[in-house]
Amino acid sequence: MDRLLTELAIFAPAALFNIYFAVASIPLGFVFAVFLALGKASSNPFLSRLSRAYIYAFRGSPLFIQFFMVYSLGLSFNVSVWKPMGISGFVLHPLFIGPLVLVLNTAAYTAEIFYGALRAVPRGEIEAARAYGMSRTQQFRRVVWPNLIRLAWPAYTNEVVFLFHATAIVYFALPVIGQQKDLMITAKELFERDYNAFLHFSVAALYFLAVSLVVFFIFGLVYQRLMRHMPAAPRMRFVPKWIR
Amino acid sequence: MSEDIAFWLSYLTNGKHLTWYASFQFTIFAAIAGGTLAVLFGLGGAALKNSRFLPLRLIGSTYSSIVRGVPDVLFFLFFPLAFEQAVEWFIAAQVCTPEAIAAQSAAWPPCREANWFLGTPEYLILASVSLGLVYGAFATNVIHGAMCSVPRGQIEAARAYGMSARQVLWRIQIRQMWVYALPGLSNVWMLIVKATSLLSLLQIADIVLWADRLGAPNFLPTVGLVHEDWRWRYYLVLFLFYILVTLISEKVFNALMARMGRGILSEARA
Repeated sequence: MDRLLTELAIFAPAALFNIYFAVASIPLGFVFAVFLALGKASSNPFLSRLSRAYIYAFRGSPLFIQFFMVYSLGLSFNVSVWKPMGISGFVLHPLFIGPLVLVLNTAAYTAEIFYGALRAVPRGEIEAARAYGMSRTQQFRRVVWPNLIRLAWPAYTNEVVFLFHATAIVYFALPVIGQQKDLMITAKELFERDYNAFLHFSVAALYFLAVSLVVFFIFGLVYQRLMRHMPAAPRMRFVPKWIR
Repeated sequence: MSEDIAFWLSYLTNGKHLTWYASFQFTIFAAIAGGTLAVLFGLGGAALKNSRFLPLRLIGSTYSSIVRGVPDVLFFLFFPLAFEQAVEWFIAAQVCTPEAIAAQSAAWPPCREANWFLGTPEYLILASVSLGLVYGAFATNVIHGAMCSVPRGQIEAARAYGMSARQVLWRIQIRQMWVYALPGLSNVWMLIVKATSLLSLLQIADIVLWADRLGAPNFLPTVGLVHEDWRWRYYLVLFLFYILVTLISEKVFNALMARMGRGILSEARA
């Protein structure tokens, strides 16, 4: 028990790195995804093709490869661009590249969710908005967006949890600098020290589970707030069936 | 011009590159074995989840929710290491003498005789099993959902014919659910394909590791072509490779869907 508590204390600062990666990339990814989804649905063939290709490419390839690709691209521009500008320490830092790639990746997945929701927005409501004489911006702000975000929210919640899980591979692809270690690297190093796979990996898993549950809880509250105009869903009843 | 072509041809077919091409077999093996195992574990998990006996149902749902609640990388790393340790612990219980245990200075294994050396084939198999376990949890959910969407009338008819619960499961639910499960299973397959990029974490010299080695800057003419950091080019190739695999899988699954959907009400395909 004591061992478990010290272990939990060791992992706490490491969990902050995972949380940092997620928190830094979620808002930017969200905004980028909205533009991508609108681009994919746009009637401009160039914009639509471009967003479609982007979404397909980043959903169709592993995040691990994307990390390596962006990082090695950054490295190859180091001497010619970043060094003369004096920002090489910043641009090549995992705390910058990590969120950057995560944003690129999650934006594609989120954009696909938003695109699906965008297509599911009731046509009648848009027609009604047009009949009222709303401009395109007004339509989007008052009709399309509220519908879209409500339709997309449950799937978006899942995507956020997946993004948090994806932060586990950041430091497998990027260099670890000093004591900046996330949960996975901490677990791996501790494992290499005393070969206690069950303890270290379970504690790391526990942190991931705990944060996922917190994300589900917070996003559930937001969903309730979004859906507050709807009649409440019937409460779940606890009726255990021990044997059917 | 023709000299250029000959040069690049010989560069791209030198020994290191041929090893790189050969290492695609690991990725392909892991994807196919992992996919097959995922479907099997998914079937098992869904059958457990569908069971009439509560503890079995609990096992099924715990499996699918715990494994899905944890990052795939974590489980992917944990399972092979834990399995190796479990086997070593078991061997140690059989072969280790107290003197050998006392003589052992490292933390693990308990004695030197109990050490189990894992090479690439062993790690590859363990990695496939671990992929199967992780994505089997996803497949469990998909298949369980699909089993529930088999029309109730069919199951009732089977019960009315006097089939036992096991017969209903095997003859009706598992035979009829594929159409409903296929879209979800295609998603799971895409996840597995993408997860095969993680093989290098288990010391398998897979395509990612070789791309890194080949692209690393080389300044010694004796070692081969002198070039600067070309890693991004090699990763770009892998990036395109995975997109291509996704594209092909999508086509195959669409064709499969069209074929499986024959004779089934169109609502199933929508």
